[in-house]
Amino acid sequence: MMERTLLEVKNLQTHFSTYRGTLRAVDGVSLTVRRGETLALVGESGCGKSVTGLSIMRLVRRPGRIIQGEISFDKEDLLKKPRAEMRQIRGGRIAMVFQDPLSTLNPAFTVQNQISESLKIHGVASGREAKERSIQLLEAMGIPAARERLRNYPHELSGGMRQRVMIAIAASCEPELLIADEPTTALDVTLQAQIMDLLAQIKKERGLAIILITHDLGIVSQFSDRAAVMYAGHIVEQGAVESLLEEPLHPYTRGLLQCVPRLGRPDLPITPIEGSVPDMAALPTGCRFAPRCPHVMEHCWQSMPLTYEPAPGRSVRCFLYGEAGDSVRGVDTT
Amino acid sequence: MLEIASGELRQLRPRMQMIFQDPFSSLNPHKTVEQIIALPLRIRGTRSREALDKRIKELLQLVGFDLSQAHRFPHQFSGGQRQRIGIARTLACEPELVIADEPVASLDVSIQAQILEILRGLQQRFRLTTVFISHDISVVSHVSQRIAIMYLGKIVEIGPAQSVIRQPLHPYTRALLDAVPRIERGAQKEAALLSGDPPSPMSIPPGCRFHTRCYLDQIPQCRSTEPQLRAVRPSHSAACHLAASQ
Repeated sequence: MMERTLLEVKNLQTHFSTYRGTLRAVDGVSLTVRRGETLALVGESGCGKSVTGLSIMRLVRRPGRIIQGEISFDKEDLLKKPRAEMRQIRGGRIAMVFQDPLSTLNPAFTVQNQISESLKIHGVASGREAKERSIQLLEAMGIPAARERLRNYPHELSGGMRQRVMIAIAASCEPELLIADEPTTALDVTLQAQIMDLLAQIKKERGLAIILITHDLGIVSQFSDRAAVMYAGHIVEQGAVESLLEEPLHPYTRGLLQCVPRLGRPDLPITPIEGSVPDMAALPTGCRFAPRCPHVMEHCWQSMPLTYEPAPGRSVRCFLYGEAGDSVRGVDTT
Repeated sequence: MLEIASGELRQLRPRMQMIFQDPFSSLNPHKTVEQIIALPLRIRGTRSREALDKRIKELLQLVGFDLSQAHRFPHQFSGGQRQRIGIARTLACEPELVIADEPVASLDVSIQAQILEILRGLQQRFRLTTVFISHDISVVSHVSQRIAIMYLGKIVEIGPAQSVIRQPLHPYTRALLDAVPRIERGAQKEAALLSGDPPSPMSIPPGCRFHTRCYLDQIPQCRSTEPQLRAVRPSHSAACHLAASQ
């Protein structure tokens, strides 16, 4: 493979101190993203996928804190960067698109203001030039009558249009990495298809790497190269999308796939995963999925499985694929 | 039903009940689970404590809710548990018709599957007639026998579930189906991508309301005459001038 590693996250721990105790929202996450690839970060609400994204951007707010770990972006540790330098990287070399464009766009400024701001801060363009760049960007995002749209405020645009503006802002400084956090969850399915196609097109044209945070396995399948499945603050399984979806290894991944109703396949029954996600402030001692796992074994309750590699490029955090060893608190070495 | 007085309507209401999308705002935060379910039972005339307790217990068991938790308040439960409470309350009236408005839209997939299975079990057990409102066509295809597709306030296609999904008649239905990202990688069709946003319901396009986004070769009627729902196949109808000719 010619692909080069762009981002490498090692043993990231982001915790939130609350009056109920410490919430280990992200608890030892390790992942890599190569240039030009899309890594899907999949999981249900509260599994830590969004906090992982925010941690990479160093946008975690109190009471959240990055406790330890390493986030090396193009071989430099982002966690060691001074704030001013981080501000240049954020929105410059790494950009982010959020789920809800209505609450992430500033309601008091026009589209033009918001795109130009980004161009100006990162020294790409200003004044008249910034305006022309903005128009080009909006056109590239498939927005008709781009020149007129510049004068609009976010509330004057439709949901799909707002998300296109968000993507235009994210793409404005030619980032190398885009973190898209549930970019289409707030949209109708036909608009979702338009926005996902747009992201795929930008990725192809600009050789962008994308971390796609989503709960939708269909989107994972159609729009990503590799996927990491998260459960209760851990990555429980990682691998190339085809093999991960066709031969899921972790019982949680398998369960998740059986939960989703498949279109036009009434013959495939849906089988729910019993129980619910653990309370992040009172996690079980052993494997976090043990209380819901159909394959649970004696030692799953006592110790935390490490991350094992049953096949090249596949990793899974489950005792079905490795020895218990001395792990009390799993430390990733992937 | 649209013509009867509100007093009479109240008499009819127990026969038709609703399950709401948001289990956070549809349960009274000041009442315990028991009280929430007892209310419709009381209104319908169950008075004695024993009879109430017995019925509450039955209803909670039907939806797989932990009985030992029944004295707690809604905010102490997760979305999935709350949705179970809502369903138990719906069943308290022994309705013949249940209108479920996006009952799983706010839930995670693993919880969504639990609720869908509960709903399906109840539907079979009590022979409930259900109107299942949803934006998720995969979910709809899983729970329903017949599907109606709506666009800008009108039903544009209606028919047996499998027929609608396998052989859609209306171009909008086809676009909807194609837009769903499939898990099976080979199954993704070359999507008939709809461009633009749906028009505002304040200014519905003349003629066929879908013509502004339609990708078929249109005929003049598409822009001038509103197509009516008509049967193209037995019990499968669509409102499209071009539906039969394809």
